[in-house]
Amino acid sequence: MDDRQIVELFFARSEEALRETDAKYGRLCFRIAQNILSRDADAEECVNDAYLCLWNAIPPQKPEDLAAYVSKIVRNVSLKRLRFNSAMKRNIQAEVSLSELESILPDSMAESEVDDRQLGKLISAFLWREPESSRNVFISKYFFFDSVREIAERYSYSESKVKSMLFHTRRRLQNYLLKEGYEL
Amino acid sequence: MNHTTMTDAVGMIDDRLISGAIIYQGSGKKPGKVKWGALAACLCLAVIGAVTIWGRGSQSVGCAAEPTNPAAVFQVSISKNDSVSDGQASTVIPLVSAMDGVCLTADGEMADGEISKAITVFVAPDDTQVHKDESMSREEAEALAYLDLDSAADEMKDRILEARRILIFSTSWVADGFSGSVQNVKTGEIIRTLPTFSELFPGWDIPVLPDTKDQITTDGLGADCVYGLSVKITLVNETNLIGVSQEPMNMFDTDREITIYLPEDTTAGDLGLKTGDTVFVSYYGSGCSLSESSIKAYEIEKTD
Repeated sequence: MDDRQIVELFFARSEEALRETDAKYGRLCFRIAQNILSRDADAEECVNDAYLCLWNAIPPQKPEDLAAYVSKIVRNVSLKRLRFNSAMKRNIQAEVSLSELESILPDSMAESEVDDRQLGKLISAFLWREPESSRNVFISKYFFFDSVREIAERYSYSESKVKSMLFHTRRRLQNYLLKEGYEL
Repeated sequence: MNHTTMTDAVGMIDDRLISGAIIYQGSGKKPGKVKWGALAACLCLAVIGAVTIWGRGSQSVGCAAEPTNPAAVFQVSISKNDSVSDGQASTVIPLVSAMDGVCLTADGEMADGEISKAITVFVAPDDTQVHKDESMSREEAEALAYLDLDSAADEMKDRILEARRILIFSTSWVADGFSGSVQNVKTGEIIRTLPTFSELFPGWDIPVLPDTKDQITTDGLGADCVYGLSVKITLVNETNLIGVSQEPMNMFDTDREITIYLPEDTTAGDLGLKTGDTVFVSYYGSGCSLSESSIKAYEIEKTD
């Protein structure tokens, strides 16, 4: 079933919409949640919570890209859970990814009043200028929180290459934000 | 604004970027994994003094007399990317015993005037055999090593540097300014071209080994490691070489004898070894790594 039909099911308030979403994107959702959280049980709960959010959001929302839409919801729900969880349950890999992201943001921009949405637009603009390979490796790591090993296997790169690409992309993004930050 | 904001901002990137990443298949070729056969040897041996590449700021590159061993199966070739040397600055290290690792250093001068051993090329053994007893797992090292050192807290810096050391000494690379490859001598096949240090580890400091000279000390790193060992290296003729071999090595031993199995007709000169050369031994599994266990070959014998 294509995404448009699934969205129509949501609008019809048919529970079939959730089954179809799960059949098509369940694995993707679980992967994102599992990458962020350390426990499978937490990941499953977050996926279910995300489906509930999806149910409540559509309608009135009518996403044009259901894959991206549901990915964002799962990511947000999982990050909220990660922040809520005790230190014992934290996922070191996700924490490292968060820490790497933290280091990108220039101080000048951190002190400005740019909000998440504006910053998201800047990051999008930057990523569109990046080579496709670097762009997708970056998104895999920092949006989907895939591990370096997973990214290397999926894209048939060496792990060293993935790390090097991430390093350089982070640095370019930082320079880009620094430049944009001064202009805000 | 804190890091959660940056994380949240990444969560607001264009939908098309996200779906593009979902369907992107990549264009890389599957990296090949070189298996070096039955390399049970835990010995990583490096010949010091065969080359003088970073010699006190000069452009001179030695190693005119590269060891050429017709019986060698593999060899590591390195050359300096330097127009002055016109491509002649190169050396070859024969892996006559199918050694699974090589570390080649050259003299360099540190800021304080001390002579150090800058690593020119490092060929790691099979990764799976390395670092079983390191202070952190490879996964953990990979997660930590690429964090920003400058902005890290002091206690974190030590862990980051340790993680970097682990990765550096478990990956094959050649120093910047050089080209290197591992080649099968018999077939001429280039088994792998070595990436440069900065390609793999951008922004990291290239390791410099202390010049241990004749020191034999038991220093630091717990009781398991010694900085220097006196060894007697015995070369034994073997038609079918297996690899550098030794009995389980007690790191407390000094005056240790190491036996290196070589193809028939191999001479010490073929290895580029002579009495008095410094040899580095890395005994994986004991907690020692390359930079922590250097030995001085005080006698080299050849027995028939």
